[in-house]
Amino acid sequence: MSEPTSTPSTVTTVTSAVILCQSDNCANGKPPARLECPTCHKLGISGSFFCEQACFKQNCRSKSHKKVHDAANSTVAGPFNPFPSFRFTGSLRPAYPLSPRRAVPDHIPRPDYAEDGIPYSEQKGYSAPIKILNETEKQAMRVACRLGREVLDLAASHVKPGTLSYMPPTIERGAYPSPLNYRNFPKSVCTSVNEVICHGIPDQRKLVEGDIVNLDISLYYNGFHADLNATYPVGKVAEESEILIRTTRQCLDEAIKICRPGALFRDLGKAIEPIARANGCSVVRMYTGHGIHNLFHCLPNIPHYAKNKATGQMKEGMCFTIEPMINLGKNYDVEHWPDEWTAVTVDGKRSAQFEE
Amino acid sequence: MSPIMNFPKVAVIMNEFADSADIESRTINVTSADNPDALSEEVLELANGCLCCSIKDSGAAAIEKLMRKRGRFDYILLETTGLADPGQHVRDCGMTVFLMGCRCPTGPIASMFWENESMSDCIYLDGVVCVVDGVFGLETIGNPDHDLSLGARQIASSDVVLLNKCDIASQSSIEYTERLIRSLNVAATTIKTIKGEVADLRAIIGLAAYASAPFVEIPQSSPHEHGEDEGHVHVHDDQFDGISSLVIPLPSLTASQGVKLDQWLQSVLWEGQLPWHTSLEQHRSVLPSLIPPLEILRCKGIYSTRNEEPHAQRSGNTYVIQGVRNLYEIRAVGDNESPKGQGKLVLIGRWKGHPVSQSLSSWLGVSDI
Repeated sequence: MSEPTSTPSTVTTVTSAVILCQSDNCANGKPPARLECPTCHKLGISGSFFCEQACFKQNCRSKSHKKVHDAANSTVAGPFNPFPSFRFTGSLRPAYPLSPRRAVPDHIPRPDYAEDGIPYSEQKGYSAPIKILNETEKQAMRVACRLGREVLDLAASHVKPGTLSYMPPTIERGAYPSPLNYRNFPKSVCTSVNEVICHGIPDQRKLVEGDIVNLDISLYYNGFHADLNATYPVGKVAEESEILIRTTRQCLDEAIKICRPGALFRDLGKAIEPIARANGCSVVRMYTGHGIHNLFHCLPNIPHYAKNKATGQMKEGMCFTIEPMINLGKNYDVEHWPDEWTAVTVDGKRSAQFEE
Repeated sequence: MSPIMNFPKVAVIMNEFADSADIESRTINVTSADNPDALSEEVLELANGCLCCSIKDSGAAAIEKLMRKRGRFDYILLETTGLADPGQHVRDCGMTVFLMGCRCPTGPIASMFWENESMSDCIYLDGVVCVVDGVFGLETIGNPDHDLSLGARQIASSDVVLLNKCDIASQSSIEYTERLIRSLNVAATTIKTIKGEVADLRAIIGLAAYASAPFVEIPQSSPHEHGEDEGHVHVHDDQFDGISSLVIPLPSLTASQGVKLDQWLQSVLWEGQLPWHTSLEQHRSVLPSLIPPLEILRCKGIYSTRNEEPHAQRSGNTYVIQGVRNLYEIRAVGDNESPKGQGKLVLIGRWKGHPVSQSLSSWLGVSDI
């Protein structure tokens, strides 16, 4: 999982500000809204917000909003789009309802946010200096990361047309799936299809030939988080998508090449952006790489774009992710779905990511 | 009227706790009613309490959202909680964010906006403006019980200081406060105001204090200046909470010395360590442990490099250094902003007791700093 630029506790606040009034014919021009439809809330449909009582009532009376409830209540109806009035930037739509939340057996140690979604230790640790891992910790980190790689490769082996997002075999390895309930993320993995930049929520949509899909696996094992992801083609994809995936992989590889004690964090973006540009792509700025060890997200911040002011140099024993998100075309901007997580390109063009 | 006075729209973002936000917003609406033609203001409220405490992103993201939604704002005025204290200006293709009076140190907010500048093509940090109360300002700045360094820190990270209530403060109080401000922050411009009125808005808007151009306007002289005594380190003795300004002249540097200067800044700003040339390593151990750690809140600088190739066509480049807390940037600027051979580095913060200029000269391998 990637980190929003700057401190992490913004995720919810930033995106919640993004939810505009869901009324089809809002008299107020769809301002950011805070009143949630109680029925939707009960049904577990997130994002049904209205700017005022009048707007909500009018939408219910005209039945346009009730369709959302009906779809959720119906057992025979297929997947439905919970945000019918949201202006999606591309052709991808969410396919609700989500499957039930995964239960993690009690014997598996869990991070502090597992219960209420709030990563207390991360918030406390955010201003702390960058942790230097000792030998034991490094070893524990290696074990967690090896498990992560195994899970990612297994999940990737299921990527083909017609399959659902795969449930990663994390629990089977005695590990907690780090995304689960992290700041209330509902699932154990992020699956980001086509124009989704990152933090896509696995739903009922089946993969289609020509899609590209990023699987972002994070797990918590023996007190340490692993976090890695990769983008895969689904069947045969257009040349443009191939170039995007290849470019993104190359961006990550070149960035990893400059890593050594004494290298500057700010130089990673300088290795990444020229490659993206040369291939007609742009580098997402809103999300960054991050430190990782006992905490899922912490310092350092790793911007992937060239003109960054990241502080600090790499030292032996530090552990961090590099996870460039690369968009086709020139637009690096990010928009969020009303689910408060799914980050998409604003022009609907595809986006890929690799993380190690 | 100057063009800048004719700006069509100012977005005022309140960063205020709920109780008082209403009162504050009314005040601001009155202001706009006074100038219905020139200023049309809009009041927003950030729900999450204090901007700087709640997280970097929410502020920057909220502003960006605002921009996208109603892209017609020319300036954003961002005002934070509480005390009649300093602020910050973020400029945005003619747009300004203005943070004033926050309970938390201004530095983190300034660095937040500056760091996030690259997230948006249209928002950039214009500068920090701080309002000091001409009557009570001294108590705030000077009172060691008053969250110690808050006032001093806010002045230290400001680019412009408005010294207000000049009509009711005594002359001696104003003079003393002004001198105090100057010793804290030699690089800031101080403007005396009555009821917060600034005659020419260009004094606080469009500062571009974090961009390269206006840097050279930093005053060459200081209250302790000794005539044309170039090459002299100007140390200001009046200090509050150990914060003061240090101006170090920089000679014209070779390209490799330019790289060394970058490394020196990394060590000082990121690690809080003065780097030493190996032959002078002993300096490190000389420091008594009682001296407070080196902490630079704001730095600005300009220097030029000389071209070492004989018969070279070009004379070299001029660079501007800008930094707030541990963030800094070195940017090449056009020749017309050349410091006329005299480069300098201004450091504002807690450095007393640390042989800063000795470290820099040894590190750069120059003797005449």
